[in-house]
Amino acid sequence: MKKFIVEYLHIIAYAITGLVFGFSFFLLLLNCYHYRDLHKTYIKQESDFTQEENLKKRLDEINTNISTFNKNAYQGPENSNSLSSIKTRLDLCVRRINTDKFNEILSRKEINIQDVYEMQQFYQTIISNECLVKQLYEISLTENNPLQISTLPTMAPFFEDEINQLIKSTDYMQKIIKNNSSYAFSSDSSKLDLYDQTKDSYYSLLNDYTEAIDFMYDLSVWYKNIVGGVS
Amino acid sequence: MKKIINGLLSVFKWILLFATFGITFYIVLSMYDRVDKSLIESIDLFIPYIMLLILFMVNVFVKNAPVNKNIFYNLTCCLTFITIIIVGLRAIYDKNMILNEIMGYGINFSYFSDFLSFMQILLYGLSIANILFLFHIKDKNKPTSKKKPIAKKITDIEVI
Repeated sequence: MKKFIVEYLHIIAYAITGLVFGFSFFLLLLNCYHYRDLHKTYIKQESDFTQEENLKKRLDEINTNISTFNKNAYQGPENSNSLSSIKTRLDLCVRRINTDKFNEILSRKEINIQDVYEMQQFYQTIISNECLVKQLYEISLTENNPLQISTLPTMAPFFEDEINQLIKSTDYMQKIIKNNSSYAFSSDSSKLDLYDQTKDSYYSLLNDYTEAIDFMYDLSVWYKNIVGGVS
Repeated sequence: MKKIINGLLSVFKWILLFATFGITFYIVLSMYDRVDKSLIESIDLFIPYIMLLILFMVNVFVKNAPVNKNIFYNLTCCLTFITIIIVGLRAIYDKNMILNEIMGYGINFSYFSDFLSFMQILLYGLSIANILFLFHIKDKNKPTSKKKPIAKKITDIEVI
C-alpha cells in the first residue's frame, strides 16, 4: 500500500514537472517570438528617400517665401508689424524643424520601432508643440487675433482646422507603440495591433511630417502673396 | 553519458537558481524603490525561491535519489530559471520595448510585472514536484555498504 501511494505521488510529481516544463518552454518561445517581432527592421524604399528630400526642399522653399518680406522696405497696405510677426514665427518653425536630428532621422536607411518612437517624439515636441501650438496657432485665432491682416479673418478658420487636425494626429500612435512593452496570451487580432508596427507607424508619421510641412508651406505661400513680393 | 549530463544539470541548477534570484531581487528592489514601497511587502515573491533553496539543500543532504538522479526534473529547473533570466534581461536591456524608454528607469517594470505571476506558478510547481519526490521507498534489493566487506572477504579467500 505504501509503495502504491509513493508511486502515485511520483506520477503526480512527474505530471507537475511536465506541466512546468511545457509552460516554461512556451514562455521561452513566446519571448523569442516577441523579441524577434520587436527587432524587425524596415528597409526604406527609394520612394521614401524621394519623399524625405521633398520635405527638405519644402523647408527651403518656406525660407525663400518668407524672405521676400523686408520690414524696413515694405510699403504695402498691410500692417508691417503683423507681417513681421508671421515671418518670425515661420522662420522659428523652420529653424526648429530643420535640425541635425531631423536630418538624421530622415536619412536612416533602416527603421526599427525605436526610430519610429523618436520620430513620433520629434513630431510631438518640435513640430506639434513648439511650432504648431506655440508659433502658428495664434495666427489661426478667429477672435481677438492680434495680427492685423486683411485676409486673415477669412483664412483663420481653415488654419485652425488644419492645426487641430495636425496636433491630434500622433496621440494614438504613441498608445499603440507603448503596447509593445508587455505581452500576454494574445489573440490574432490583438497581435495585429501589437506587432509589426514599425512599417505602418513609419509611414503614418512620414505622412504627418509631410502634412505639417505642407501646411507651413501653404501658409508661407499665402504670406508671400500678401507681401506681394514687395521688398 | 547520462550521469555526466545529470551532473552538469545539477550544477547549473544551483548556479541558475542564484542568478535568477539575483536578477529578480534587483528588478523588484528597483520597482518597489520607485514607488517608495517597503521591500517587505514583496516577500511573497521570494517565498518560492526560499522554498526551492531549502528543498535543493534537503536533496543534497538527504541524498534524495528521485530528484538528484532525475534528468527531467533537473532539466525543467534549468529551463525555468533560464526563462526567468531571459525575461529579466529583456526587461533591462531590450530598449525596443518603448515603455523602457518612456519610464526612464532603465527597466521595463510593466513587462516584468506581467511575468511575475507566471514566474510564481513555475517556481511553486517545481517546489511541489520536489516535495512529492521526497517520498520514496528505499530499494531493499540494493547492496548496502555493510555487505561490501563480506564480499571482499570472500574474494580474499578465493585468492588464497
